[in-house]
Amino acid sequence: MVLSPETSDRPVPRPVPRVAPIPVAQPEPDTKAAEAPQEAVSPEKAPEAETVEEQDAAQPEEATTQIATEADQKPAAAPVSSMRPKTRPAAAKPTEKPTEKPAEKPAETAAAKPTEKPAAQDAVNSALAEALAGATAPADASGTGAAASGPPMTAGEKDALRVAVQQCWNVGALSSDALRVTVTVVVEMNEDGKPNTGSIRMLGFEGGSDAAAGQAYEAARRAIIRCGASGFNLPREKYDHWREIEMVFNPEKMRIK
Amino acid sequence: MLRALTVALALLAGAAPALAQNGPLRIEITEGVIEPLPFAVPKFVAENSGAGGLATEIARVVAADLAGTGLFREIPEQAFISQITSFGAPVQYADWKAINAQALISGAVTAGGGQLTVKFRLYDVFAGQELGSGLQFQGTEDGWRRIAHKVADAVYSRITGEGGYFDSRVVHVAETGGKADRKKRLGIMDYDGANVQYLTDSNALVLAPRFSPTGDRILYTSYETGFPRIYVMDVANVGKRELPIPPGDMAFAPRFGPDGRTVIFSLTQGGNTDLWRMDISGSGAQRLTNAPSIETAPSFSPDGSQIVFESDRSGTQQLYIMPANGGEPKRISFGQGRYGTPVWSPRGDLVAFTKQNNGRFHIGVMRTDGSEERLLTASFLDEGPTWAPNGRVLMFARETQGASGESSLYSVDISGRNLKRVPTGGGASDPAWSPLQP
Repeated sequence: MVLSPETSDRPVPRPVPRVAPIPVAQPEPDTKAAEAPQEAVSPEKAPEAETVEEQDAAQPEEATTQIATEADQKPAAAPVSSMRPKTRPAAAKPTEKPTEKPAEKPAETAAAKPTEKPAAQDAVNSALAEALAGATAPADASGTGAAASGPPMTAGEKDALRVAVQQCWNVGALSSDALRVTVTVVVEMNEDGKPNTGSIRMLGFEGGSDAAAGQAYEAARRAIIRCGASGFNLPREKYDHWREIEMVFNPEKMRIK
Repeated sequence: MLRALTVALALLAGAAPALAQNGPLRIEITEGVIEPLPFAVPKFVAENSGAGGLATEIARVVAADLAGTGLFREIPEQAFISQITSFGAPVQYADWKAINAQALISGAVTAGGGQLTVKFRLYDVFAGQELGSGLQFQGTEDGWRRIAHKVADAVYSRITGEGGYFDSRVVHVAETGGKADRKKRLGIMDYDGANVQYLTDSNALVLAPRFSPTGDRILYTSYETGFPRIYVMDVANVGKRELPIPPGDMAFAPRFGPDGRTVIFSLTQGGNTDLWRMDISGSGAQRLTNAPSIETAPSFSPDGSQIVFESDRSGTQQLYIMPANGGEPKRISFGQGRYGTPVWSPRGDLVAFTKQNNGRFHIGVMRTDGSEERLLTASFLDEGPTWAPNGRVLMFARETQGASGESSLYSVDISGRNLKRVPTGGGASDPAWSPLQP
């Protein structure tokens, strides 16, 4: 999922820079190859354009893969990579379930539908398992709103959010006990990128007393509210992915030893 | 094509684990910032005509206490968009958000007939809600500073989760005159240097005053008989009494045990110095060490089960811990240089000490097993740390170089930050921090 947007975006700018360096390197094979064809066909320079095509055949490994792929396959490659992201959320489930199902599912399906399945072989069972998994996965995804949204958050987009929050996470006034507590906070986000202040709550904590966790949570809450006051820079088309955010505030690196 | 596909597959495979997660977006924050928390303390509301002056003064002391910790930064009144004119009125959070006040303290004062009542509320401005519930303190008008300290303690404690330390006192040796002819007497003051009083005159040399666990008595060493002897003084009426020590012996470096009855101290007999313990009544003297070396500067663990002290039994001054009734001492200091004046933290987790190394003095802390030694200061002469009641701040004496050198008190956070001088008027040394006052 993460990769698809990158590959779909890059094909446009890349053709220029990539083609530029390669042609520089290629003139050598072109000129070398040109000598042989020239002898066979005609000594004129005009044939060079034609010879290039012939030379491609003569040098399939280098020339064709690089020049031909980017120029010709842009349209073909982009759709392929962009299509996959959509299927991925569903594909993610099968990867989890197959580990459990290969052993269980066939047995379950066989027990549940003995009349149909007995004839079916393992391949069919696994195909059904995948189909079932694929069917259930979208249901789950739609439940969280993931399926309806665009591509998921990229690592870069998550990083930007992390950096934005940590700028306001001030642990300077926290007790050493509170600095031993890792709190997990959940916040519901408005579509404009601003946190819904009233929705912020502590999901859990570890490493300290309730009181220390309370102080740690308050510092975390202040960080979210303060740095989110003008809205976090989040891609609106992916709102369904950040409609709700869990933030783990781990002060291990901020501790006084 | 094959390569491109292979790469694409490899990348997709690598991305797959990340895709496996479901539910809300989850991020982990591990890098924060450490900076003072901005707060605003508008002038407290005077709820009757007699409270006007104190309403302003109390707010100033609260602000000074908080800002003095280095953990908070006061937003000056000039920046305020709105004021608080009624204690019960709803807070205009937007006005305080606009100036980035993260904590807001409002208060009200009623004064009359020598009595004082102070109410306050603490708000988390960005969360738009009150932190905890409001509190009210009552006292005498003369004791207004103590009430202000109590308000600040409550705010500090509520935000940091740490116990407060503002409503506390410091006993110390007040010094006047040059190094050659220095007069010393016991002084006692608020932790911030206010309200200094002197407990002894300067006729006899006095050393190392130490508070009882309840802060009502002081143990100290005086040379008024010509020999160092230990005295216990009642702070309220300055009445004093000498602990029974055999004639000719020298007793010094006393300290209370956490029970408020046991006293540990050094006793020099026939040129050899060992540690002893005794009941405050003078009975039950018990020898704790028996070595030809010098054992001194004992300090109890908060639970009273162990004693940390300094000894030169290894050839140089080092720190040792032993059971409170004596027993085999275990050395805990192993760094370069000499270690002395250990003091067990009121939280029990650290030992503060003076370290001398390469001609420099340091105040430092280490864990009670000697690990994680950290030096917090460095100067020509730093010595004699004492813990704030919450175990987060140390006070010590720093003496400047040269014949005109003077000793003064400094405090430093155990993180090593916020080193600052404590105002004492004249010279001062050998501080001891009281517990929080009741």
